[in-house]
Amino acid sequence: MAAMNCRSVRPRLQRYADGEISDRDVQETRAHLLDCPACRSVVASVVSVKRFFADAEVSSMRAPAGFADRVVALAASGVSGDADDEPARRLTRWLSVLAASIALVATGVLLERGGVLESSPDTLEAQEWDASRREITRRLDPSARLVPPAEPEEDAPALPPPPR
Amino acid sequence: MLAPATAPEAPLADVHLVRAALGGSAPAFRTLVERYQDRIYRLAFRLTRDAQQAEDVAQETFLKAFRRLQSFRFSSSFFTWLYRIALNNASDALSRRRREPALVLDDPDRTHVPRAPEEASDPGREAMRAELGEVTRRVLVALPAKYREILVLREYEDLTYEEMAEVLGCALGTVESRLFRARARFRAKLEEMFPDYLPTEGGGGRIERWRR
Repeated sequence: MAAMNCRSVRPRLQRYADGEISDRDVQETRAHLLDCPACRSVVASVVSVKRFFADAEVSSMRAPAGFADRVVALAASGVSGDADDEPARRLTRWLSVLAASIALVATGVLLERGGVLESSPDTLEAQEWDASRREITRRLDPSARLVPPAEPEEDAPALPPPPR
Repeated sequence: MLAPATAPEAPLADVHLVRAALGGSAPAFRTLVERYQDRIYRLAFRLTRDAQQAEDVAQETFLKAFRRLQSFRFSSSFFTWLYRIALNNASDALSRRRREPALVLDDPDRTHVPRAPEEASDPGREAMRAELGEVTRRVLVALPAKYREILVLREYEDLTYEEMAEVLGCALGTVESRLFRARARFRAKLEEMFPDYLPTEGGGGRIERWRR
């Protein structure tokens, strides 16, 4: 292992101070630091700032009591969290319905063309969705409904836009 | 691989919950809120240093997340996506606050950090720690938002470089250079505002004396 010089070590000194490098890089960097006061002082400078951030008080803080209840109630009542974007909201909703329709049509066309309709009924994504649905049905009460984030058409499954 | 019936089940994965919430499931959404509410609230508090505002920011974050669930890409992790929304909300809240000078950072009722009862040990040490915390807070508030944010993500939230890149929506190289600059700016601001606290090579700064 060739001894490292300052130029090759410099870019990783901050990662070294943050503990964000591989064990092997740690060894090499440490070997260099032992011989190089200039690089040592770069590391010391990073560490000196890190020490200002011990913040035990905030680490033990919790969200206020009843927070989740309020958020879920607001979500259920259709409050969006955006103060002034009703037009944007309508647009997004419209676009997502459009995207869902296009995706459905496209999937249908592809499946028919490929002749896979019988042999492979599910796309990978649909399988993942089924897995989620099964988990949720088993472990949560699926009857409690929220206002869905966007309103899919009655017969459209609540799928996200297709993967890019 | 059947687990014994008494073994506690692993928590439902975020992706399942997100999908169910997309379909309108209230319990799924609630589980996500409960899972991340403390982290998001603390992040908001660290960015705004105001209990009321932190609560507002956290609430808006979850509501926006809910409304925008459709834009969530399952390739990234839900919590980094949530952090990103929270950062934007906090930065909006802070710029609103700058326009309304009536809300001051120094109101002790709003910025007071409740102390966990179990850690009331050495009162002298407590006082010094609180003082240092206040210095850090004031220096952070004086930094430009992008430097404050990255320092909070790294030093308080303990995110990895990769997670920060996801939250901030930038390349790893940008994370590294921005973080480095943020630390340099922190030192410079500290020197300007509280020169006594500046850590020195010989260890003569106040922080070194405390930590010994």
